[in-house]
Amino acid sequence: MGISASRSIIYYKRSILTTPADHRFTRLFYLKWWAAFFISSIIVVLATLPPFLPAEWSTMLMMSFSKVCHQIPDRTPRINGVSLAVCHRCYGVYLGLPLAMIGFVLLKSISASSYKLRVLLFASLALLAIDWGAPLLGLWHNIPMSRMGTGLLFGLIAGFYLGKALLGEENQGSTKT
Amino acid sequence: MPGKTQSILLGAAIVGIIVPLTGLLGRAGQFIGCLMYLVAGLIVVWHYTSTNELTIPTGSGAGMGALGGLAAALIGTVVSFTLIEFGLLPGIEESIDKMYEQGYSDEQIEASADFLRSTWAKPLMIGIGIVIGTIGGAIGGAIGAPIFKKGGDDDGF
Repeated sequence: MGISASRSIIYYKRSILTTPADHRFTRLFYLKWWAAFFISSIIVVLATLPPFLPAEWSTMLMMSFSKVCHQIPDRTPRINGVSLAVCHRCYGVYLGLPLAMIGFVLLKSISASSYKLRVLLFASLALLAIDWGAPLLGLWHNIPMSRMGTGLLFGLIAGFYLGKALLGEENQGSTKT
Repeated sequence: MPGKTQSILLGAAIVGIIVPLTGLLGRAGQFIGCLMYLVAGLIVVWHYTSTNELTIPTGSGAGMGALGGLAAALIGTVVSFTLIEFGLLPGIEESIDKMYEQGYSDEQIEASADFLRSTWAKPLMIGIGIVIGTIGGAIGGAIGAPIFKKGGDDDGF
């Protein structure tokens, strides 16, 4: 394809956006998306670092997460024999946040006020509670995949709400009823 | 816009005191701990919207929740250090003992012990706790804003 033909295609694609304001919106959205992806990834990255850091930094990270997670060794993912900073369930929750940001680009038309989304949210919380509580009641033993899977499901939905907040769904200000 | 400080402080105080105490609850606390900063954001938004009969955007809810989570993390840090001083929660020495279970060498454990006893280890840990609390609170606030809104639901997706 000649240079002039490829330039024509580029000009045609740009013309679809119709106005300079659309260019700014698109760039702004993706800048905001990258910022949202970074924010949503912080916790899962920190939780994943312990096997890759010197022992003193690894211990510091483990202690930092000890307030929010039991860190029981046989319920915690391991890499090269070293535990991550949080358990399977918590890791699933935190992993779901950046994954939700990736899916957000495709699903951003869904309203945060959606009834069905709310049902999914409570269903994911119920699954979390069942997976955690059933072994306590002696009903069954959960496994790493179930713990991480239920955490991941909740994390995906929570991450979607976070995406709505960071990428500005409703910005029309407060409304008094 | 009505003041948000009271709502933020309420959510922060409740969660900031409860999170360290979950360490005393054994297995029950292990489930709660993961989600408590998220609950801080929910409490903040619920109190603000209920008190003022308002519906707030998701972004505002996330912002308020983030502040509530941040404050909860700070309060929780103070409470945690207090409980550690009284021997009710494991401290640095217990964490070092845990490293033996994880298979670290003696040299690594000694280096970790020196690091953890240094003056800037605690500020780093507090900083990470603040990041966790802030993001958790933001998520709770983002979830709470559409849930606690006044008025009807959207019909669906």
